[in-house]
Order: sequence, then C-alpha cells, then structure tokens
Amino acid sequence: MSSNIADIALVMDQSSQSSRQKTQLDIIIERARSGDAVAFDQIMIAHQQRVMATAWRMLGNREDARDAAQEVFLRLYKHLHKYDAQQEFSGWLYRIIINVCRDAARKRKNYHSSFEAEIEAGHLPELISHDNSEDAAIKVEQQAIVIKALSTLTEKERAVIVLRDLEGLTTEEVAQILGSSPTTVRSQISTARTKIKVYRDRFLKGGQRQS
Amino acid sequence: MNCKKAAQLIPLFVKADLEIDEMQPIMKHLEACDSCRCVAKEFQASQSLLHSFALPEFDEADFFQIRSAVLEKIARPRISDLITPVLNWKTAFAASFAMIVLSSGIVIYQRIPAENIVVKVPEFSEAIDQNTNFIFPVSAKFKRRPVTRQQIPKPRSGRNSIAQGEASARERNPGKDSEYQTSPERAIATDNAFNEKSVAANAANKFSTNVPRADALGYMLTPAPQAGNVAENLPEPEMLRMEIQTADPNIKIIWLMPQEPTNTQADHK
Repeated sequence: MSSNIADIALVMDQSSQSSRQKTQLDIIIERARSGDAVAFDQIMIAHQQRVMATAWRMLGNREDARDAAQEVFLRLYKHLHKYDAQQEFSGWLYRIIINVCRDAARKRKNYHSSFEAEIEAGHLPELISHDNSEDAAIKVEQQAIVIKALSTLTEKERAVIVLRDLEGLTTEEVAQILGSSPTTVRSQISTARTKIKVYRDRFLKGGQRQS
Repeated sequence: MNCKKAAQLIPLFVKADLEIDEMQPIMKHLEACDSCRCVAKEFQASQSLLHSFALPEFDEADFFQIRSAVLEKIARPRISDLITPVLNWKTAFAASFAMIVLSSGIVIYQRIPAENIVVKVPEFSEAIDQNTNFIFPVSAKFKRRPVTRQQIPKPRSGRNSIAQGEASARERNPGKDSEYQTSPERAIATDNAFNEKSVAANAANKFSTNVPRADALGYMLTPAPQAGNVAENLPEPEMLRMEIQTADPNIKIIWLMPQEPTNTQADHK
C-alpha cells in the first residue's frame, strides 16, 4: 500500500515537473517569438544535441549534419509563430529536422558515399579511438555494418528507424512526426528491420566464409 | 498462427510494436517453433547492433559555431527569407492567374477593329452627325430575321413611311405578319422623323416618281430626292445616312433619315 502511494507521488511529481518545464519552455518560446535572441539561443542550446544527432544519423555526414542543424534552427525561428503550445515541442522539432534532412538528402542523393567519406575522414568515434584492442576492432566492424545496412534503406525507412530505434520514439509519435498512419509506420519499420537483419546475416556469412 | 504469419510479425515483435491482441499469439508460436525463435533472436541481435551505432563526438565549438551563424542570420535576414512569405503558392497562383487574364484581355482588345467598338445611341430621334457610321454587333434590338427580296414590298409611289410599307407587306402576305413587324418604338420614331422632317416634299408627292429603297430589314425608306424631281424653289432635304454593321458580315443595316430642316426649309414650309 505504501509503495503504491509512493508510486503515485512519484508520478505526480514527474508530471508536475514536466508541466513546470513545459511552462518554462512556453515562456522562452513566447520571448523568442517576440524577437528575443537570447531566448532563442536558449532553445538552441537545449535542443542542439538532439538536432545534430538526428541530422547525422539521417545524413551520415558531419558537415551535412552541421548545415542541416543550422537550417533546422533557422526554420524553427521562422515558423516559431506557427507552433501550437498544445502540441509536443520535441515532436514539432523532429518534424522540422526530418524535413530539412530530406531536402538535404535529395540534393546530395548518396548516403553510402557520405558515410564512407566520414569513415575516411576519421570522424567516427571508434575510429578516432587510440585503443587498438580487439574490442575496438569489433566495434569498428559493427559500425561499418550498421552504416552499410542503413545505406540500403530508403529515405522513409531510414527516417522511421532513426526515430523509432535510435531516438526511441513510439510508433504513434513517429507516425505523427512523419504525417503517416501508425500502420504505415509499422510496415516501414518491419521492412527496414528486415533489411538490416539481412545485411547483417550476409555480412556475417561472408566473414565466416573468408575465415 | 503459422510460421509465415509469424515471420511477418517478428520484426515488430522484437521491440513490442505489435498490437496487444497480436502479442499473445506470436509469443505462443515462438514458444512452440524453434526456427521462428531463432529468427526472432537474429532480429534482436541486429537491434543490439543498431544500438551500438554510436554518435560521433560533437564538441561545443561545433554547436557554438552553428548557434552563432543562426543568430547572425536572424539578425540580418536573407532576401529570400523576406520574399518567401510573400511568394507562397497561393500568391504565385493568384498572380499568374491575374497575368493570364490581363494578357488575354489585351490580346482580345487588340484584335477588335476600331470600327467595331460599340457606340450606344440613346435615341434614334436625337440629332446625329451626318455621314456618321455606326457599326453595332447584333444586339437584342436588331435580332430579326432579314427579309428576302421576295418579301420586300414592291416600291410604290407614296410609300414613304415604315408603317405604310409594313401594312402593304401584310396585305400581300397575311400569314407572315411576324416577318414584317418592327419594334413599335422604332417604327414610331422613324415615322415621326419622316412625317415631321421630310417636310412638304412627301405631302406634295414630290418624290412620287422616285423608286423607294428597302433596307435589309424590309423597312421602306424614302430615298434621297433627286434633283430633277424636286421643285426648284425647294431646297433639297439632306438625308442622314447611318450604317449599322451586324455581327453577320453579310448583313448591314443602312438607315436613311432626313436631317433637321434648316431655317430656309422652314421658311419654305
């Protein structure tokens, strides 16, 4: 019984904390809307990591991700007056990120070569590690598999995998961000996961044959 | 649930993306089927591989650079940013539509010859400059079937009014009254004009030997007096000639009517 009460108290605390944060965010957004650059800078600081990470996962290139992040913040500022306080800010932001990344990907049209260039440039975290142990080599190999597997996906499939599996959003949230139905998103997730698994299997079988 | 159906659901099962009612049957199937359980494990392995996909390290310098660039651009907006709100799809469509309408209007206007410009004549009895040509498109007022030559009443002496001409035509063709009907206003106006303004010439049968002419609508019009038939002491009445071009190029309405009598004419009266 006491544990139940504690749980309820925790939930209430979390919800009140969340609402308090939301209120603070709303105030900052309101200030940014009225042209307060400091307030907008605060919004950027709060979301820069998420924006860069999603953009990099979508585009597979640091330079492109940086440009995309810049464009995301510019669009955010431009359309800030359209933001409805009733909806989730992060969901709205994800939608902008995905749209910007789609535009960037259409201009560039090659995810695979982009990741290859990234590996060659030594920007991947495991590659810049100075640890030459066996674990580091395995991690590098895993990164390469994931990169190549992601490069086999279509733009929409990559978006759903990034949002659902890497960013950890729910299927409904992903559907809302991408403007599709949850059924469509589930179908795309299923296809994308199957493709990744097939690529992984093929890679492992090839490795076994080589050894 | 069979293996085929399970193979479709396993990719979603590994991260609990299935509906609640689908979860229970697939779990039961996986407990019973070794091959499907193996497939599910492979999917889970690929998921864990995906989660090992680490992000590169973004340092604060990168973020600072991005934020500075954004704030700078916000402070100095691009020209495209200023134009874009105005040039959205709606305004672009409206502008292009207006351009099409305007250009087509100009083209149509340039194609109309100057003489086809409609001149509205308020009243027929009003004084109109001599030799003025009016070219009308067919309006409701002039929409009448043109009378053929056979239907036009033969010219006779003394038939110098429209009403008389029509009466004569009706006498000869009683079944085709409608073809000889004129609008009452027009007949009265024209007759009045003739009666009042053709002066004493008509009354004295000055033009009795002249051949009256009929216009395309069958109106009997008194012709312009010929010099030999007019009494020498009377001045020749000036006739006002008015041409009306209908939309049909073959139909042209010629209208003759005497002009206002001059002082000299009035004196002779």
